Amino acid sequence: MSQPPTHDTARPARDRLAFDRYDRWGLGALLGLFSAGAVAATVVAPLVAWARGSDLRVPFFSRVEVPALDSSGLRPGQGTYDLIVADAAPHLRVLDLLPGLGWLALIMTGSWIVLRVMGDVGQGDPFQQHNVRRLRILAGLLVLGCPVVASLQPVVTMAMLADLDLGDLTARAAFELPAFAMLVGVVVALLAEAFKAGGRLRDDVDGLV
Amino acid sequence: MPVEDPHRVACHLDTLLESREMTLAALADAVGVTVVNLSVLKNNRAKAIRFSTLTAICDVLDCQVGDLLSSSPPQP
Repeated sequence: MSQPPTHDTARPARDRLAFDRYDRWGLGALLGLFSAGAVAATVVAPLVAWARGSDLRVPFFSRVEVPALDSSGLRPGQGTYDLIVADAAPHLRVLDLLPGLGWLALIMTGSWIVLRVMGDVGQGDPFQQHNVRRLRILAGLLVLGCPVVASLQPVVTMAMLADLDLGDLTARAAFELPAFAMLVGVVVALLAEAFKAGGRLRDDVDGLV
Repeated sequence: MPVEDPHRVACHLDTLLESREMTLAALADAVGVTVVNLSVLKNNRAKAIRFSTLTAICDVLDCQVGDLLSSSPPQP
């Protein structure tokens, strides 16, 4: 007697690493928290300090003279000074806010772009022209925007110090090139080109029966 | 002719279905292609067709490729 045909009724295994709507919500929450933290650190905290009349801290580099070391034959070089300004003038407070506002603009714009691109990834249709554009903008923000904003800090520091009496110290402010962010920007630019190629492949199968 | 130019291939699926007295849904079920995709083909909105799909349609409708698709001459 022949056996009736059996059907494999087992469901296909779920791809646990697939980017679904829960991951999209989680990413949105994560980026939201990150942006909120950036707002708190770069805008809210300085404004609260200003409202309270707290001292303003202005770090800078200058030569260090230590007579005890000089007498032992050692010659110290540059040191970091933390200038504490009491009753800082309003324009100093505003200058102090500027670099933070620059970073905040970068973080929020970048977060929004990532969220929109990953939204299309979650929908299963990522290789659209607007995502190529978004990724190129994100790459530009990282490769060009980050160094520009990073250069704000020494400029602002020197502007703040120009109004302050440092005695015979010659102040210098350090510029730290955000090399890692720029490298990530290059990777994002390469990803944009991959998305562009994906868009061409997508167009090839558009309307394919 | 560059690939990007619009094509002049017409699909006669509606005529074949009518002559075989078969619905689009029945053909879709027999061929293993979605009704949506077959509708795209029937309404001349398809840009490309897989050979496997073409073979399946011809088998089910008992026709040749030339019965299903034809190319019109270029406009002067």
